[in-house]
Amino acid sequence: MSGAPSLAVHGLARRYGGFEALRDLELEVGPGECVAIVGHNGSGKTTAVRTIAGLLEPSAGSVEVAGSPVHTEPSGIEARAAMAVVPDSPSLYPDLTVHEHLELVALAHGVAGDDTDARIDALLAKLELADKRDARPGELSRGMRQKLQLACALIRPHRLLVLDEPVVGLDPASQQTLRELLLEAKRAGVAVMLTTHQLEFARGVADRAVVLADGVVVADGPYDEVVGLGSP
Amino acid sequence: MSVAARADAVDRARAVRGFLRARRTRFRPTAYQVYATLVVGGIAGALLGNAVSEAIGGSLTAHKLLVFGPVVLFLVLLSALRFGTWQGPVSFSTADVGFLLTAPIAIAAFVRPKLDQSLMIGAVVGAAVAGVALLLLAGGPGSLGLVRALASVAGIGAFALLAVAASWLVESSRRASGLVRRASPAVLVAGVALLAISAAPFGRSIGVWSGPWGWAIAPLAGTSGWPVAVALIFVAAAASTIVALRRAGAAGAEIFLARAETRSGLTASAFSLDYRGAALTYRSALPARVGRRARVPRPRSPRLVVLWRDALALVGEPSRFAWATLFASAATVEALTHPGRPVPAGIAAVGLYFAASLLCEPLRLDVDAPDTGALLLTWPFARLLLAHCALPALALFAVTGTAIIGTVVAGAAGAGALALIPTVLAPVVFVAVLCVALSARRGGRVDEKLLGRLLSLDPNNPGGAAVLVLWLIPWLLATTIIVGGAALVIGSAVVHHRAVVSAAVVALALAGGACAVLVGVARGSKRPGG
Repeated sequence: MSGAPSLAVHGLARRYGGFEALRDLELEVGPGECVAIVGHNGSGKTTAVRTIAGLLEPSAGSVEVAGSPVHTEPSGIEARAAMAVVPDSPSLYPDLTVHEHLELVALAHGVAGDDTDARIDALLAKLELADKRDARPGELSRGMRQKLQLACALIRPHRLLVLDEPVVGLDPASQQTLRELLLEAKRAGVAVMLTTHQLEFARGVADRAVVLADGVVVADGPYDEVVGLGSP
Repeated sequence: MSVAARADAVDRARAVRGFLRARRTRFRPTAYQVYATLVVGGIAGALLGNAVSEAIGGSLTAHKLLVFGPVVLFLVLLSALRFGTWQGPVSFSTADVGFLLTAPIAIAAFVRPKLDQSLMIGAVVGAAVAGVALLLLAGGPGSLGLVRALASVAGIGAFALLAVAASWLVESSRRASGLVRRASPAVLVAGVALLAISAAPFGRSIGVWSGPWGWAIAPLAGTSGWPVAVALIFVAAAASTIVALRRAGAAGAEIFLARAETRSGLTASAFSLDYRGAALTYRSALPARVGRRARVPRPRSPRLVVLWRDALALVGEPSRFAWATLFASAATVEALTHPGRPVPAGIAAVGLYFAASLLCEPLRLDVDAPDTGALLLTWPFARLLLAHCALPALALFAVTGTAIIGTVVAGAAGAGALALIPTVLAPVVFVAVLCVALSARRGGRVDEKLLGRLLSLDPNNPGGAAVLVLWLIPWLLATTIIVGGAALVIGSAVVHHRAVVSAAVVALALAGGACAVLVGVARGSKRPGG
C-alpha cells in the first residue's frame, strides 16, 4: 500500500449521545506533509485526534493510515504500527522510569534490539531529558512529562505522527526543539498532523491548516493563507 | 495480516506483560511468611467459623433459602450487569490504554489474561460464599451429605462465573450497556415480583426454576430434582464463559479509555472525600441517552420557572423517576408491613431519602455551579430551595400514596393505613425532601481544613471517625431519625388502632419543625459559593 496517503479520513463523524462533536470530516495527509488542525475550545480537535488514533469509535466514516483501516481488527494492528500518537495530557506509568517507558514502547512495537539503549539515550539527550533517565513521572515537571510522551512516539518507526496540543507546558527552548524534530520527521517522509492553539508555533512547521468550528471544517488550505485570514 | 505477523504480535504481548511484571514492585512472600499466614489464618479461620456458626449458625433454613435465595442471586446478577455498564471485570489504567492498546498488538492479547483472572476470582468467591452459607445452614453442613454439599458449592461458584462472564459481555458492547441501563428498573421490578412469588406457598418451585439464580440455590435448599438444576447452571455458566472468551477481542480502546478515566476520577474524589464529585463521575460514565427529549410547555408565570426546570430534568432522564419510584414504594411497603419495629422504620426512612435525592438532582446541579445559578435566577436562596422541593415532594406524595393503597388492597396492611394519606404522608415526604435539599447546600464536599484536622487525629480515637461520618452524612442521619421516628410512632399507633390521632400529632410536629428550619434558612443563609 505504498501509494496510499499516510492518512485518509472520509466522512468522519462522532456523536456523544445527542451531541455531534464532529461532522463529515474529510482529510488527507501525504508523506512529508504537515497539517495543523486549529479551532476554538470545543471545536472538535481532540475528538478528531482521538478518533483518528483509534481511541474513539467513529459514528460514521472511515480512517485509514498507510492504507490500513484503523477501526477494524486485524487491519487496525497494521494501522497502529504505522502511527505514533502524542496525547494532550500525558498518561504515564507512575512506577516506571523514563528509560523504562521507552524500553516498553520499543518492546511493544517490536523494535527492541541490541541498539535500543543507545537509541534511547540519544533521543533523551536530544530532548534534554538525559539527566532524568532514571526518574519516575512523579519527579518530572509537566513539560518534561510532555517531552517523555514525545520521546515515546519518536522511539518507534512510524509513517504518521499525530500530536494533540504538543506545545502545552513546553518552554520556548523546548518548543524550538520540538519544531526541529517535526521538521526532521517531515524531511524523513513522515506525515504530521497536529492540533494547536499556538498559531505562531505551527507557522514554521505546518504546510496546511484545517479550521474546525462546532465539529465542521470551515476552512482548509495553505497554512499562511488560511491562518492569515485570522480565523481561529 | 499474515499468520507470522500475528504470532509475532502475540509474542510481543507476552514480552510486554513480562516486562511490566518484572519491573513492578510486587510482594513476594518468604516461605516463613507463607507458613505463618497459613497457620495463623487456619487457626483464626477455624475460630471465626466456630464463632459465626455458634452465633448465627442454623439460621439459614430451607424455607429462607427458597424465599430469599433466588432473589438475592437475581440482584447479584443485575448488579454484575450494571457494573459492566461503567467498569466491568476487565480494566486498564490510562497509561495502559496509551501505551499498550495503541501498540500494534491485538487488544485481545491484553484482555484475555485479565478476563481469565476475573472469571477465576468470580468462581472462587462464589464457592467461598457457598461455603459460608453451608456453615450457616440449619442442621449444619453435615446434614446435606458430601455430594449435595459439593454440588451446592459448585452451583453457586458456577453462578458467580456466569455473572462475571455476563458482566464482560455488557462491558464489551455499548449496545448491551445501553440496554442494561434502560431495562434495569423493569428488571428490578421483576426481582420484587420474584420475591413475592417465592414467598407464596405455591411459588417456591417457581423461584427455584425461574432461571440461573434459582438453579444455583437448588442443591443448597434441597429442592427435588436438584441434580437437574445443577446441570442447568453448569451448562449456562459454560455457555456464557465460552461466549465471553470468544468476545475477548470485541471491545475497542474507547471502552477501556472511558473506564480508566472514570476510575481515576473516582479515586481522586475518594481521596478528598468528595462523594458528590464521585457521583458525577459515575453518572458521566454511564452510556449517554440517545433520542429526542420530551418537551414541557413553558410556564406563563416566572414564579413557576424552577418547577418547569425540574420537570424538564425529570422528563429528560425518566430512569431517575423510575428508580425513585422503586425506592419510595419499597420504603412504604417496608414501613407498612413491619409496623412499630425500629429497623424497618429506619430502612424505610433511608429508602425515602434516596428517592428524594434522585428527584432533587436539579437542585444539586444548580448548587454545584452557584455562579451559573446566581446568573440565571436572582431569587433568595431559601426561596430557590423551597421551589426546588415542590416537584420532588409532589411526585413522592403520589408514589407513596399509591404504594399505601396498593399495600392495603393486597392485604399486606390494614385499611386503617389509608388514614395516613390525608394526615401524615405529606409532612413526612416534605421533611425527607427538605433534608435532601439542605444536604445539597454544601455540594457534598468536606471542608479541607476540617478534613486535615480529622485526618491528623489519633487513629486509635474512634471519636474522629464518628465526627467524620456525622459530617459526611448529617442529613441522611437526620432523615433516619426524624422520618424513621415518625414511622415508628405511627406504626405503633396503627397496631393499637390509634392511627388517626397519632398521625395528626406527628404531622403537626413535622410541619412545625419544617417551618422552623425554613425560617432559619431564610434568615441565616447566603447562597452557596456566594
